[in-house]
Amino acid sequence: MNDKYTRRDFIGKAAVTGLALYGMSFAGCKSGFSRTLAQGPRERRANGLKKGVFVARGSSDPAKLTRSAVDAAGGMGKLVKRGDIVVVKPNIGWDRSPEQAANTNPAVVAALVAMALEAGAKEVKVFDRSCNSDRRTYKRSGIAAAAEKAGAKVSFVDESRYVSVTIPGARALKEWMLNRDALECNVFINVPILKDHGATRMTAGMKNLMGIAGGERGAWHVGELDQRIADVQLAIKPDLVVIDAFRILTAHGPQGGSLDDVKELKTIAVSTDIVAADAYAAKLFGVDPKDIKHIRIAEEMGLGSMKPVSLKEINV
Amino acid sequence: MIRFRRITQLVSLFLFLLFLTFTVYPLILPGEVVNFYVQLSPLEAIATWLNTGRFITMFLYSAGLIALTLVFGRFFCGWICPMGITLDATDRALRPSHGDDSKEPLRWKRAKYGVLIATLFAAYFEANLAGWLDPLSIITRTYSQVVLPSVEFLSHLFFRGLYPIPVAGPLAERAHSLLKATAFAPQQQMFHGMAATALIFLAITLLVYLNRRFWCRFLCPLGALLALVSRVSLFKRVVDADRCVKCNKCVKNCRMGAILEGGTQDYLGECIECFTCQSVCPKDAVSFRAAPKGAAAATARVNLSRRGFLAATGLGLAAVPMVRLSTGLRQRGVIRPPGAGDIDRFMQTCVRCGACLRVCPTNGLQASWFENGVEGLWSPELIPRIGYCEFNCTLCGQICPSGAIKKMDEKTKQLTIIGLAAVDHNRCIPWTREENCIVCEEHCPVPQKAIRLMPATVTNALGEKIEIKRPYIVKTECIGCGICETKCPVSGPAAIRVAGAMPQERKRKSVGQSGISSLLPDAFGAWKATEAARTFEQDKLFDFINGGAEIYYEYGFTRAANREYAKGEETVLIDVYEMAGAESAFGIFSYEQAYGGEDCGAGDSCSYSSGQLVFRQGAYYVKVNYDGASKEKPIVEDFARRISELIGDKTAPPSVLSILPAGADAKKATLVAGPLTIRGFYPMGDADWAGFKKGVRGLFYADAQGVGMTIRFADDAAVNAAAAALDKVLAGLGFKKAASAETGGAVYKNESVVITAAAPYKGPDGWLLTLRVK
Repeated sequence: MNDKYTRRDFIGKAAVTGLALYGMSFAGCKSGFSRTLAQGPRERRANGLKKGVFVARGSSDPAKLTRSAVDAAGGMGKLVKRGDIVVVKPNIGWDRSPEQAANTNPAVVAALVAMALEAGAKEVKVFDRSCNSDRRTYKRSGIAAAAEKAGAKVSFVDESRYVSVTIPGARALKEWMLNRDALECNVFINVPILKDHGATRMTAGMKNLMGIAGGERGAWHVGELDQRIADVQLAIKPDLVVIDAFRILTAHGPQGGSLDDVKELKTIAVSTDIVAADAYAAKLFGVDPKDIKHIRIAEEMGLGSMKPVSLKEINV
Repeated sequence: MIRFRRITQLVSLFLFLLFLTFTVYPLILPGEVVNFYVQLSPLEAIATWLNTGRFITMFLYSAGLIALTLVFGRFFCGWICPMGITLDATDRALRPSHGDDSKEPLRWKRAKYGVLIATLFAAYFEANLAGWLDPLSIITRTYSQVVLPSVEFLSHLFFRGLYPIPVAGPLAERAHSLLKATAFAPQQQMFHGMAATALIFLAITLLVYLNRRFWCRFLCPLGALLALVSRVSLFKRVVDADRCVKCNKCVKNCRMGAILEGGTQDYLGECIECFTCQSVCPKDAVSFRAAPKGAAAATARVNLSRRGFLAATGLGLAAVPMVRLSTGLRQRGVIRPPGAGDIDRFMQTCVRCGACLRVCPTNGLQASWFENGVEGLWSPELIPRIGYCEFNCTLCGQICPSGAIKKMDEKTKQLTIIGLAAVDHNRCIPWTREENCIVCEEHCPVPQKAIRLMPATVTNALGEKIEIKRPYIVKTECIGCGICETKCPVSGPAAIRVAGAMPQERKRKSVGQSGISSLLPDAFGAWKATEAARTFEQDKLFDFINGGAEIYYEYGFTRAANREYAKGEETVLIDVYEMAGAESAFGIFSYEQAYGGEDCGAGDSCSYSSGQLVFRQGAYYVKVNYDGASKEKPIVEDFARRISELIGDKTAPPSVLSILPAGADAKKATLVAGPLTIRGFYPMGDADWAGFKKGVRGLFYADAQGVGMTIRFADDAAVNAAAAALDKVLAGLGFKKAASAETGGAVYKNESVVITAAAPYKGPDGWLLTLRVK
C-alpha cells in the first residue's frame, strides 16, 4: 500500500460527506424546525420620522424625487439604524418594462436601497411574488438590475420562505402563509406604483402587500378582497410607504401594456401612515379615497387616517 | 483507444445534458446550440422530408453525420449517441458480467431494418413514427421529462432540508438560488406522461438481460440507417488472419454481436467502432483502418429477406390508418404551442423530443399521451390549468429542433392566436354567487384586455341590491394564452376555459386605444351598458344591417360595433362604424344625411333629427339613438360629445369637397364612390366607367342650375378614358349623343332625360368631369 490519495479514497470521502449532508437535509425536512419559526405579526419599531404625507414632484429624475420626499419626512437616518435588516418591497408583478408603468420604477427602488445602506443597514432585501414568471418580471421590470447595483440582495422567493401566520384583529384573513423575510426584518419599506386596477379601482400601498403572501392568492379576489387587503396590513405594518407616481397606469391595470394608458406625473409621496399615503395616491389618481373600499375599511379599523396630520409638497 | 472513446462518450453525454439542462429561461446558450443533438439525426431529416415533401434545412447537420459515416463507419452509435452512451452505462450497471454476448436469443439483427423501412414508408404517407422511434427523440424525451425534473425535485428537497441548519443553511440557500436562476426550470416541472415515458425507457434498459445494447443491435431505426451507410465506409475493422488464433475473445466481448464465430469476419454494418475487440485481442490482430481491397470478402451481410421487406412495408402501411385515423387530435380543441401553425404541418414536423416541454417556463406545455389519439402521442399541447403561455415568451420556437414550432419575434407571437377563451356562466363566481372576482381580467395580458368586465346589479342572498362585475370575452382581442384559465380561483375545472385554435392565425392589428371597442366603454357616467358590445367585422355587416349594408361597402367599411346603455327606464343605443378612412366616413355621412337635420356640435360634422343624432369624426361614423321620456337632444348630444372625445382629434374636411362648384351647398353634397351612389344622380348600371374601384371619387349636389355631378380624375388621360367609357354606358342605356356648342362637351338624350357633359377641365388636384341632368 502506498500513501497515494486514490480515486477510491476520494469517492469514499465524497460519498460520506454527501451522505452526512443528505442526512442533515433529511433531518431538516422532517424536524419541522422551519415551521417552529412561524411568527405572529411583525411589530413596528418606533422611529423618528415626521407624521404626515411628504410629496416631491417636478424633477425628471425619480431617484432625486425619492430622496427629496424621504428627506422632507426627516431622512432615512430617522428610520434605519446601523446593522438593520431592511426589506424594500416594490411591485414586480408583471412582465412589463418600466415605461409601461405596471411595476415600481427601478430608479425609485434603487434610491431607497442606497439610502438604507447609507443609513447603516446591514442588508437590504428586495423581492416580490410575481404574477408572471418571476425570472421574467425581475428582469424586464429593470428592478433586479437596479437594486443589485445599488447593493441590495435581490432574490426569487422560494416557497420554503412562507410561514403560516395568525393575524389578530383580522376580519377575513385570520391566518395565511406570509413571507418570513417580510416578517423578520427590522425595517419594512413598502414601495408600490400607483395604477389602475379592475377590482379595487386603483392600487397603491395597501394592495402591494399582497406580494408578501404565499398560497393561492386568487382566492383573495373572491368576495372580501378589500377586507383581506386591509387585514394583511395588520401582519406587516410597514414603517414607510413610498408611492411611486412617477409614471402611473391610468387604465387596463394592473398590468397595462399600452403606452396610451401611461401618464407621467413625476411625483413621489411618502408617509408612515399607509392609509394617508393611499388616500393621497387616490387623489392623485383622480378618485375620492372614500370611494376606494379597502382604504375606507383600513381607516375604520384604525390603521391610519385619510386626512393626513400634515401635507407638505415640494417642487424639485 | 478505449479510454479515448470513453472520454469522448462522457464529453458527448455531458454536452447533451448541458444543452438540455440549459434549455430553460433565460436560455444562456442560444436555441441553435441547445437543440443541436436532435438535428444530427438523418432519420428525422429524411422522415420529415418524406412527411412534408420538403427538406427541412435545420437538419443539415445530419448530412455532415452521413458524410462522416461514409468515412469512419457507424462511429456515431459507439461514440456520440447519448442513447448509446446511456445504455452502455446502464448495461454495465445492470449486468456487469455479460458472458458470451455473441449468443443472441433472437437472431434479429435485421429487425431494425424492418423498423427503418416501416418508419420511412409510413412517413411517406404522412404518419410520423420517426419521432417516437428515433433514439435522439427517445433520449431527449426521457431526460427532459423524467430525469431532469426528478433530479431537480430531489435537489429542492435536499437544499430546503439544509435551510434550517446553521452554517450549512445559508450556503445551501446561496447555491440553491444560483441553480434556480440558471439551470433549473423556473418552477418544479411535472408531466402527466412522466411515469409512462420512464417505464418505456426502463424497459429498453432491462433488455440488457437478453443482450447488451439490445436496442442498438435489433431495434434502432437510426442505427439501421447508419448501418446501411457504413456498409460502404472507408474505415473498417481489419483482422490480420496470420496472427489471429481464433480465441473468440472478440466475438464474446462485442457489445453489438458484430463478429462472426472465429473472429475474422464481421456482419456488415454492425460494428460501432468501440475498439473493444482490439483491446481484448491477445495477439494484436485487430486494427481499424481504410479497408484493403477484398475486405468485403471478410464480411457477412445482414439483409432483410424479400418476405421481411414486404412485411416491413406492410407494417408501415398498416400503421398509416392507425395513426392518421386517430380521433381526438382535430376535434378536442387542443392548444398547440404558438408557432405550430397548421395541425397537419405540425404533426408532420414535430419530432416529439419534448425540448419545448422543458423550456416552457410555466410548465403548461405537456406531452399528449393517448387523449389526442395515437397520432398525438408525445406531441406538445398547452394545458392551461397547469400553466399558461407567457405573453412575452418565445422560447419554444427558439429551441424547437425541427421548426415544427416556428421561431417568432415577440411582437408576432403576441399577435398569434392559439386559442379562444370562453366564460362558463355555470361556474364563474360573479354569475353563481353574486360575489365579485376579477382575477381573469386582471391577468389578461393583452394591452386592450380580451377579458372585460360588465357591471350588473343583482340581489344577493341577503336581499341587498349590489353591483358586481362580470367578465366577458372580446373575441377580436383574445389570443388564447390561457392565463385566465390558469389563475381562475374556482376549484376544479376553471370557470373560464380556452379551446385551441387551428390553424393558428395572426390577430389583426390590435384595434388600439382609439379603436372601435374602446369607444363603447362599460359606462358613460350614470348610464351603464346593459350588455357586452357586439362587434361586426368587415365581412359581417349584413348580420348587423341587413339591407343597406351594400352602400357601406361601396364607401369602404372596416367594422362596426353597437351597445345599449340604460339609466332607469331610459335607454340609449349607439352604433359605431369604423370606415376605411376619413373620406369613407364622410361618404356614408353625406349619403345618409343628404336630407339634412338640425346642426349639432359633435365631431367633424353632426346632424340631429327626432331622437337620433349622427356624427362623423375621422374614420368613424356614429349613430346615437335615444328612447325614453326626457328631452332627448341634450342627452344624445352629451353622448356624442363623450364619444367624440374618445375618438380624439377632429379632422380637416375631406379634400374632395374642393371640387364643389361655387354656389352648391356643401352640407347637401353627397360623395360618389360607385354605381350605387351614382344612382342619386342618375342610375347608370353597374359598370365602373369612371374607375371608382381604383379610388376615383366625385360629388353630386344641387345648385341654382339643378342637379350636378363632378368627378375628379388624376390626369387628362384618365378623364378622357372615363368620358369614352361613359359614351358606351349611356349608349347602352338608349341615349343618343350629340356635340354641345354651349359647353364644348357632349349632350346625351333619350325620350325623357337630357344629360349634358361639360368638356373636361383642370381643377384643383386633378381633372374634372361635370355632368348635369334635366
